[in-house]
Amino acid sequence: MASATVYQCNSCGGFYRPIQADGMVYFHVCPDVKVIVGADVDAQGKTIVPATTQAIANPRNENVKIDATGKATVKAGDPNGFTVVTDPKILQPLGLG
Amino acid sequence: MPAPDSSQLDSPTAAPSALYVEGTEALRISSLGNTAGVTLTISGRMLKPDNTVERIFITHTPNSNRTVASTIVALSEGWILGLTVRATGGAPLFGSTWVNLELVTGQFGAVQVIQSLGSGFVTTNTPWSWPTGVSYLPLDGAGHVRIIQGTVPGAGVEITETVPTGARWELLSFKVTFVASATVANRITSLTVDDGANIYAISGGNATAPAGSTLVISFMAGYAPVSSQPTNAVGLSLPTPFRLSAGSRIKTQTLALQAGDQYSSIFYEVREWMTGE
Repeated sequence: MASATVYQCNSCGGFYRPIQADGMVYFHVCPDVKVIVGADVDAQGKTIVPATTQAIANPRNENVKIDATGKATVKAGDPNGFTVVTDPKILQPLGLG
Repeated sequence: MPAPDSSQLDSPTAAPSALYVEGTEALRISSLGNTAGVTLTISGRMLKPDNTVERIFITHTPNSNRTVASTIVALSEGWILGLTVRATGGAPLFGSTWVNLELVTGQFGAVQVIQSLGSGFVTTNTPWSWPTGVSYLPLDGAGHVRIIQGTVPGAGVEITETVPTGARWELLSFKVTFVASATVANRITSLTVDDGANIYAISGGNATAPAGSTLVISFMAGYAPVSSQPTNAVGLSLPTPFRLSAGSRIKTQTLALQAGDQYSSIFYEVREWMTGE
């Protein structure tokens, strides 16, 4: 049941395999922020100018939610949340080819 | 072997099985799973009051998202002689598909458990059986070891991997490749673990990447870092055992991360249990 399919998250731009090599399902969760301008640090690692970051817009969490009664609620698909990527020129440099 | 004398079956001491069902009960199969494409077959035999043997075949499909899936099948009157559950579709690892058998009333609507028969893990080649199988709960046992390929973030974005709902992980190793852009700065990678908000563990060390460099960084449980490592590979330590509950996040924390820096080739090894919560 393993799949070579790779998705790119439309919110954070991350690439992931929704079905892993062992057949298990992978649930993508977006990171919090992305760096716009990196921090400037000195040779001792002390920050001189902090980084400028931007929150990920519309962050996605594909995990199943458990409601207050303990019942699992499964999201009814998320077809607009990702794009299927097949171009090896994109995937191979990322270790996903 | 001759069929039992039906007149003796009314006596408890002569019953052919401890599990008599009167025709109003049902068998509930509940499962937890994390693997796509798995199908279970429950097979068994039932001795009917007319001394004939009826064979039982039930198929059940576990969910692949670690939530409970249930199938309820009405039973006719008789003595259940034995039941066996095995995976007949897909290729689940041992520990990744757990099944629970119960006798219930109320096939539709309100279901009431009358008797638990037992529970255990199944694969294609390792069935679980009643009445001879030893019962295990989902968190029992050694779990199953998995290699996961994580999300490759966009440029200038830290890695974030989340323990899925319904899972408990023991983090064994976490390996990444880091490519620093041409922007001048020394980047230093650490690994943090939080509960979704609050960091409760940090592992770091001498994973320093100057501008234009590529560094392979491996965090490994119980590893003792050595000073004479290859210039493009760094080994760092994780505590052992390092168990994480659902919702915990494993993240990189990179000092002086620049907008063009790229993490890739993210692989990590975990031992997983399903919590059944």
